Amino acid sequence: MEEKIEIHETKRVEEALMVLGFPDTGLVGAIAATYLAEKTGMIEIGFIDSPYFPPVLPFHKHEPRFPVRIMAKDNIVTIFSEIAIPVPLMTSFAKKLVDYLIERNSSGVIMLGGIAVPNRIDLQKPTVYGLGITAKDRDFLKSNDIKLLDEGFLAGVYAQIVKECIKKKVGGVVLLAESYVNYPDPGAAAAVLEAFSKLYGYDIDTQPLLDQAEELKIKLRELMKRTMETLRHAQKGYEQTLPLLYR
Amino acid sequence: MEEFFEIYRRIREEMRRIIEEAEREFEELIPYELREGMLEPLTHAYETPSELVIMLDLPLVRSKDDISVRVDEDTLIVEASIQRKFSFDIENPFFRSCTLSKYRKEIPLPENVDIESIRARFRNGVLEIRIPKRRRGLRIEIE
Repeated sequence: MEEKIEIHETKRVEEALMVLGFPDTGLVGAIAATYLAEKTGMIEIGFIDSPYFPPVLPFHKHEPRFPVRIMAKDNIVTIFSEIAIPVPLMTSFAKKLVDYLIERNSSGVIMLGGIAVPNRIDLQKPTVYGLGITAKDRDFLKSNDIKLLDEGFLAGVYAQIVKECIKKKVGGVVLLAESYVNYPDPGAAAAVLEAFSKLYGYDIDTQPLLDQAEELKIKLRELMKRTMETLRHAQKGYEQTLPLLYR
Repeated sequence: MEEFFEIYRRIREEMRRIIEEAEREFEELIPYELREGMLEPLTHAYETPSELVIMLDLPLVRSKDDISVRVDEDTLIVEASIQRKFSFDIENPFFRSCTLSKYRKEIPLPENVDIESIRARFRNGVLEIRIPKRRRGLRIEIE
């Protein structure tokens, strides 16, 4: 199936920091990545397509666009999606994506997302947790006061991407903000962007995102519903499970 | 000539009927509630050993005074009004927009819950309803 995933580029960007945001828990990654692309004035440099993606084509301001887009500005590339990556395609998608990162000599990969917590209703400011792929990545997170995920499972498309990164010795981090599981959570997206800004020295003003949070929640509800259908098949429940303690 | 006008009238009548039927079908693509400015909130429910917890996302609802929660027979009914009108586009062949003014959700309740002790709180745009389970059981003596 890997050969059925096509990456098209109109511009080749080398040695960039790659930021990924795919629809997942609370749509945190997708909201954060699209906001990052818009706020930093990124331009579209390509897209990813597959005959196994749902046959949909979003259009924005009258212009048809591919649902999975590659945006870039200077030395930062963001890849985000307006559709949930179908579960049977996740492994091939992850392989293709990590090969792409290697071919472009990416300086690092950062996956933005959410982690469901039952007490999200009580949290004004969600905590952001990190998962470092290499020991160096974990030290980097710790030295910047990002709490490391201790024991647990990661599920979904990021789990497959991290596996591929480990196999191919590619470093990177996953940043997950405490989030609602099945409501779009712009507050969690703002938290994850703040953590990203702190780690990589960007100055992203998240206030406009928080100001339009309620409107976004309504506008994104259909995408959230469709994402939940995918997540049900992506063993997301594992993220609420403790792994084997005796190793 | 009269026959021509009769055929012409029948063709027009048939076309009007087809158009009306098509419009009705497109109308039906939008849920009735949405056409009335009513939206079903995204809902998440889970169980603890002692409670059923239902959470409803109610963006744009300002305070608990704008929300009503009631039980009618064995159905929990939540309604919430939005003070500020909000328009958004709906994907359908006419791509028309809709003005949202109210949320409504009906949730059938299981039998083993204590409706007298339902508690609700509204925080950060989310309504949390906690429904205690009725404890039923008896102690079995071991011989």
